[in-house]
Amino acid sequence: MTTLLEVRDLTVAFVGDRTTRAVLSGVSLSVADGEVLGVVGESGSGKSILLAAILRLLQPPWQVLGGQVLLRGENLLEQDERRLAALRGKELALALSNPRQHLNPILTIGRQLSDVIRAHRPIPHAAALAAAAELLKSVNIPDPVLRLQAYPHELSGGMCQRVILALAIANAPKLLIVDEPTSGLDVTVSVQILDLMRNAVRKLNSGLLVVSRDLGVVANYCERVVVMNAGRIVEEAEVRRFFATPQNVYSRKLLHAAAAARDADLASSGASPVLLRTEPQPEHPLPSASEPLLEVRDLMKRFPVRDGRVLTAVNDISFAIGRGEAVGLVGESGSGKSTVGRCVLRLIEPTSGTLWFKGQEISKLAGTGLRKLRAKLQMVFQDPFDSLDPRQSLSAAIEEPLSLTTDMTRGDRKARVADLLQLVGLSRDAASLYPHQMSAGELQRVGIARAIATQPDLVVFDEPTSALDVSVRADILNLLRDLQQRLGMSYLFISHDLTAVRRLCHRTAIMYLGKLVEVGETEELFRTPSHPYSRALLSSVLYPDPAQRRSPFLLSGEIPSPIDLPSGCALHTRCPMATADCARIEPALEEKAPGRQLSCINVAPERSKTQ
Amino acid sequence: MIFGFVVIAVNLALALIGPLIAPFPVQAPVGASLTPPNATHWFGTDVSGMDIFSRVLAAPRVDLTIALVSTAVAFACGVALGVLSGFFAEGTAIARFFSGAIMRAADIFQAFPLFVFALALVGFSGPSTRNVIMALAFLNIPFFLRLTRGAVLQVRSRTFVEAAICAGNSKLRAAFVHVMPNSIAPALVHFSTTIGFSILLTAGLSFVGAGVPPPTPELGLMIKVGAQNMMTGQWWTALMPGLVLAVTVLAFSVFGDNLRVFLDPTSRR
Amino acid sequence: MKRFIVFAGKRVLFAVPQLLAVSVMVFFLIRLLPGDPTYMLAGPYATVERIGEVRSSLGLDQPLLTQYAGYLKRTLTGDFGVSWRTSQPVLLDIQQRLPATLELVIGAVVVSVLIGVPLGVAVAVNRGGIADRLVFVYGMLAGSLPDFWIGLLLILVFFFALQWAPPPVGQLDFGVPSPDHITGAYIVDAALSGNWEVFWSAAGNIVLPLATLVIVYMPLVLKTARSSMEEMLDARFMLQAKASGLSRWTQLRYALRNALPPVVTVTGIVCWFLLGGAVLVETIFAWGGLGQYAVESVINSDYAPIQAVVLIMAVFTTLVFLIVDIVYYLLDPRISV
Repeated sequence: MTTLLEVRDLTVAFVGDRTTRAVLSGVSLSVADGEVLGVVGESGSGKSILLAAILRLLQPPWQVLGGQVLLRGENLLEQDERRLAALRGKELALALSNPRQHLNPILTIGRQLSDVIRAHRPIPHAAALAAAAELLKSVNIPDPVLRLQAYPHELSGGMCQRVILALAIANAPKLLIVDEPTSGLDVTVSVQILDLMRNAVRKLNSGLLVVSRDLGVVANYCERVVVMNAGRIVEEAEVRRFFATPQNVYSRKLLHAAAAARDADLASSGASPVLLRTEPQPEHPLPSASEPLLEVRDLMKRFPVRDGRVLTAVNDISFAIGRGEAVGLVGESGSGKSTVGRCVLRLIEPTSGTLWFKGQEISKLAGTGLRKLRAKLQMVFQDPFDSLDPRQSLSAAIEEPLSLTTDMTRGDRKARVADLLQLVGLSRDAASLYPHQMSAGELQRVGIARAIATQPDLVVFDEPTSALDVSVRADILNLLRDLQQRLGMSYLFISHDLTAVRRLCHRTAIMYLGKLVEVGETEELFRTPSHPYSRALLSSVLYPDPAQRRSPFLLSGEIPSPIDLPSGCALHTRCPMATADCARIEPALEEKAPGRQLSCINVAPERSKTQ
Repeated sequence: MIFGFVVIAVNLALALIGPLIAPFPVQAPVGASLTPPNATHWFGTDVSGMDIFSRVLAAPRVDLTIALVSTAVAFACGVALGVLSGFFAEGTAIARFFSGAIMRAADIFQAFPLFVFALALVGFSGPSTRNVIMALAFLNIPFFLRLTRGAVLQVRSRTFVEAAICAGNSKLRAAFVHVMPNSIAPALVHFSTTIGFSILLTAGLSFVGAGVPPPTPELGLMIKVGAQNMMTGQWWTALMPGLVLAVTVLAFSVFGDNLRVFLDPTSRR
Repeated sequence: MKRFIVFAGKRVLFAVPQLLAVSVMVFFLIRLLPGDPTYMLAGPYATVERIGEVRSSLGLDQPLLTQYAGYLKRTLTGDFGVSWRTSQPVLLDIQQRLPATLELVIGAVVVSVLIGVPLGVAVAVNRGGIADRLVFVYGMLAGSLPDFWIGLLLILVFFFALQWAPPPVGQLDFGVPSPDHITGAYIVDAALSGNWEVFWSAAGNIVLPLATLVIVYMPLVLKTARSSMEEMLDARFMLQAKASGLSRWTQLRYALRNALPPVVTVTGIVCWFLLGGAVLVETIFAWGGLGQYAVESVINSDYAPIQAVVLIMAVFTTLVFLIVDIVYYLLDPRISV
């Protein structure tokens, strides 16, 4: 293999009016033809600056102070704009994440592709359009010729990401650079994008440089890894060796955090030697089948959208949560899982169906009754920055539910706030601070304290960890588990983070396009998923372990829009097992084995072999 | 920032004590007609022999008062309506209807060119300070309404509003206790700009003879009186009051710009 | 194309209730008056018969809705009443004056856009130069310059001191006959009929009022063009465009296409402001347009013309915003039908 790209001693600094601060110090790395190199680092490690520096896209105040970027021996840092324009897109190409923001919003996809093709090949517009259609086909976009006329806002996020990829490989680059290829995408879509990307470079025998904070991506797709921390490369290794025996302290910390978030899996598979802490499943005993705390019957939520059409977010689902039980609700975007949570709290009104809480029907409560109910039924939100009033001090935020829904005196409330802060692991001094003075992890603790202030019986968690960094995520999950054991609350834990659900929940329900497709005891369900969607979803988890690369994937294409739901089984447009009946018959959620409900006309659950 | 602040401070001070420190009586002839600027009459005298410098000192009491009062009224009404129409833009059918109706009304008011509308309002109700204030207040409500509504629409989609409802707030309480304080910044910034703009409108109305009656010491009136002399070369008559007017209005708009940067929550995080 | 027709059709239909609401507003304006509007509308020198006529035409003894229906019907047939000051039907007065105002307003918009947009784009592309800073400072003046005062300054400098400009006494020099009536706008009519003496006289006379309006209202266009272009040059999609090796020119084209829609919106707003500004500027230059007519009517408490002028200006604004929306739609595919 010959060296394709070599970065030598690259130093980049932030040059301000008064200060100069190094953001990359002596970075060296290389990529050979046909090689896949992963660059890993947390936010602020300098990954993005490195990308921009390689492509010479740095703008002031960032400046390259020294080093070389050699593309087949040609130092890019010495080339003029004209030469760079000839190289960019042709020799080295970039595919950025957040695809919607990176496409020109008011030109058609066809126009953008043809512009890029014609920047490097002098062919007429019509020929370029034909080539563009071929490109769209190669990234698995259905009806490519039709899509040439589409504007970015008419396509889903996954589709836009495919278009970005098509733009990047339009001129068969020798080196493809990809920035956070999975961010913002659903798991069943992002694994398809990753596969496409890898296959494209294999076909061209090009090098691939993947920048990601997700160790799962690196473990599954890369051959070598470079770890960045604070503008330096702290470790470089072959991928298996890296995950088996990381040398650097920071690398170990990263791996540890990733593993802590999924130690439940490791306990069961016994896979990796790196992992230091193993914690068992939710071991606290479940008070056996008493009267359920919350019962949701035939819940349906529809939103009117433009032109008299209807978006069906939640399509006739029923489930129950027992006292002290933690139930996970899992699904991708558009599945309606967050809508379920909001309906349960009556933050939005269900279109139909009933809700029962402690044996009382709550779907018709209003006014004071509803406000009193909220003392016992609480919620923790996804983005901690967004879920606290920026003009309210933290103590005021925690105190508010107490003063609005209880008769506690001012002194009692103050004491309770102090207790709560301690309970969620914050110092008393935090009380007088404002949200912008704290980190995301700390704020999420405040959100939790506020939710449990009134000693609720049930707390709904709406993706409580997805806005947090990996290491913080593990801490919050530990806290939640701890609290549940101590206070005996019930949880409805809504998440797309399967490892978190597996770690925290007794039972799990999987949703797809407004329907529950499978419900079961968590560990059983994770070991032997039966519904094709459950299997696909679970198999698209990228574990940070090259020894455990994911198995071939089941589903194709994007998640359909919940506005025009497919007929019959909502999955039949993507399902490899679909038969003609699937397009007609809407399967019901039925108990197919003890404790396991399933909605599919073609499969029956396997019996768990381990139990 | 300093420029805007100083000019505004001077204006406020003059509004309070301007007429008291003026070297000459402000509504009576004190010298020869059309004297060019000299040591006694720093800005010269106008056609009826009144001292222009003294009148400029006294003018903020009229102009600023009109602008301040009308802007304050517009601000209060506009923000309250904006919060309601923004917060209830989604909700029950009745809420949506009223929210929509408020917006349509604002649309209609804004179909009328500002100055023409002001002219007509004052024309129909008669030229007086009170009517000028009412007309200006009325005209400016839609601007505050739109700004606040826009901010509220953004703020209300943020999770802390849902969280506040979860914590036991009623919708109305959430709207005014949690949403309003977080969406008032654009209106506050516009407050400053509007004062400047109202001064300009007041002066414009007086200039065409539909504002405050002469011989009130008011900038627009002074420019009107000086306009005839300007064409025959007595430049000081309208130049000085106009310059003061331009600088004042500019100061309020620069101050507003700076205020926006200062209040921008993203710059504070 | 079909989408466009649907959009434009819907937008035009939407303008109908808007215009109706505008007429309701104007109808109620006259009822702000203390006392009986009859005397106000008929004027101080009205005879008893005239008052009776006005009273019955207003139908003041009938329900409000009937009165409004009558008002709407008269308006639609062009009956705006009679001005007691000019003793002419208001419609005739307006027909004589509207072209002069449109000439001024449309001229000012066109000049502002032709100078403001290229200049704004140019300084956005070459950021940080002296031109950029000058444009920034000038942009800050947007909305704070008193138009009537700027007009006076221009007169002082260019008429009194330098004697380059003609005296501010109207659309034509003294003694120059008005051109044959074709559109009513003197410059256009003179050019159409090949009457070059009149053409140059009219062109010379429009320079100062036009310059006044452009100086005062162009900063808005300039500022928007500059900031919008700057924003688009920094937009994230430009990064992908640049990384794909697009040429400098293609990059600029990408940014410019995205920067145009806000400029279209602001052009509409400038039009709206200009109608107000024209009132003041016409007064200074004795322009003899609709604005001056409105001012004279207000001063003389001649109410029928005020009502009519306000209505016509609001209709004009509604049409301008209609055009802006349609152009915006053509420029930005994200607008939904």
